[in-house]
Amino acid sequence: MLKLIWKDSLHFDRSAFFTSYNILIIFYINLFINFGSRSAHHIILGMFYIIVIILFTFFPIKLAKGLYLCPLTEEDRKKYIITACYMRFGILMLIYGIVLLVSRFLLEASNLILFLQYVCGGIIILILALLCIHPGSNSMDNAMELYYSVRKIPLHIKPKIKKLNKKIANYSMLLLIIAVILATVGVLLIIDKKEFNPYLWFYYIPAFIVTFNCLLIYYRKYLNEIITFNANQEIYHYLKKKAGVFRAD
Amino acid sequence: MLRVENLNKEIINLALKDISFHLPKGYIMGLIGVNASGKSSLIKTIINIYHKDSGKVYIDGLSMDEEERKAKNLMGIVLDENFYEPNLSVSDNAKYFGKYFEHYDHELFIRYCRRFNVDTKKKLGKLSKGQQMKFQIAFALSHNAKLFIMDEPTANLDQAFRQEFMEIMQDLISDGERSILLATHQTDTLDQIADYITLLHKGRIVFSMSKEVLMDKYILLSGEADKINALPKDLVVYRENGIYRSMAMIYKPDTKNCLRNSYDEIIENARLTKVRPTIEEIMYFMIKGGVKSVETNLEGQPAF
Repeated sequence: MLKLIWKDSLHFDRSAFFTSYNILIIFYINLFINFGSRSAHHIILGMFYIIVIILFTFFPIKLAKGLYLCPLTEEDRKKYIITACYMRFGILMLIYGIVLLVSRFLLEASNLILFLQYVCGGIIILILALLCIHPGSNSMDNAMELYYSVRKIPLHIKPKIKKLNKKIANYSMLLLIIAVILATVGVLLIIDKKEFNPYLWFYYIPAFIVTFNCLLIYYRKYLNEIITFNANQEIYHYLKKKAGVFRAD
Repeated sequence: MLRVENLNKEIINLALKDISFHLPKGYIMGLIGVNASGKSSLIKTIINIYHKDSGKVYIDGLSMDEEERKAKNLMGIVLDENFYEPNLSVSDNAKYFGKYFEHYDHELFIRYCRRFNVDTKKKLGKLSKGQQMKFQIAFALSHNAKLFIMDEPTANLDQAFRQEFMEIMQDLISDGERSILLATHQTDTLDQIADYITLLHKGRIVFSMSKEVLMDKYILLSGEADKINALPKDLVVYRENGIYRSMAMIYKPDTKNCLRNSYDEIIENARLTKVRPTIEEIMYFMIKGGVKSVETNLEGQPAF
């Protein structure tokens, strides 16, 4: 499968690899592992996040094109997307739990620290899963757009799609970014600690309140719109067969 | 079985405008047109891959907007490109997508694959285009569909299978319960099996009528250039002057039409060779002649 994704990326001169902002994040995590690591715990967590980001980058949550030919309604397609999103989240949380348990032996950290790391890491994974279905966040799409604009290839047929309101797209993205930053700081603050410093509650309590509210607003106000948008997207058709990689949703 | 009403869809370099036609149960309709006339876009709009800007599509009375699931259960779709998973085997593809159809029969699918010589264990992406098309046809036939919508199904098929395909199509509609919408620019297939013909040009319907009415409507005349040029302008769809011979296609006006007498006179007295045109010739002459007014006309009148 990875080979196929690599092949797909080749259609755009590997631009899926080099234009994706996820690659930048992976680069910083790598820097963090290589130069900032003081323990095996650092490295294990860093590697885990790299794998998670690679998974989300090259295996985006999307509808198979064939499903558009099947007897499914918009509601069915929405259900399919959100279930795939939660399933991905569930599986990764399970693996994250195992990773933390393994690293517990290396770090001998307290249960509270592991719990906080699990919660903060869980928020990051959930947001990455939600970003995966967020319009414009798909690295293949971005790569494709760049490929076409650089080469000034005219689009043969670009269907008029139901566009997601810019306000919705921007605000929802902003909420997710705020939440992911707070959660990342939450992970970093206790990454090498064995005992929890009670003063850190001055960060974690407000951070959890803000994150929780951001996610709540996202769920209440934007998630349905975003999934509806994804479940109703028209399928792109481009002039050159060479650039035949596209999202079906 | 299929009713399209006032369908509009705007795409950047093509607009489907006010498309209306009706395909009754038990018949085959050929959707014809030159390249980029909008055939594939129309099919994709009918099956909700593209969202229509306005208009209605009904499958056996079921609206594609309100009852999409039920309507799609009745449809067997074959498209000119592969929509299924290239990384899964033929059999797994059928199982995976078949589970969404109420009446999908995997045994039947395997039987069709054997009949079409499609290796069910091979990955779909590894099959040739013709084999992928055969897979799509086998899959469409395996879930008891009532309406088959096919976009260029014979484009990549060899002559032998094309013949078999036509026989299958005719078998399918023999019970009078199924219908087929067949978009193609290979009109020789339609000459043999189509009951209705719809011509699409630049996103608009030129005509949609029964093949019999259509074939009866036009006549192809050939002979000396001066005789061809002397034909009444209003009757001529298009004339083509060659070095040795000239040709013209004329249409048959209604009995009430004042041009009918001229037509009868030409048919009876003109020393010209009269031939019944093929669908391809009708399409060619009509498009060459410049379709002056493109209106949907379900009564069988050409729109000139």
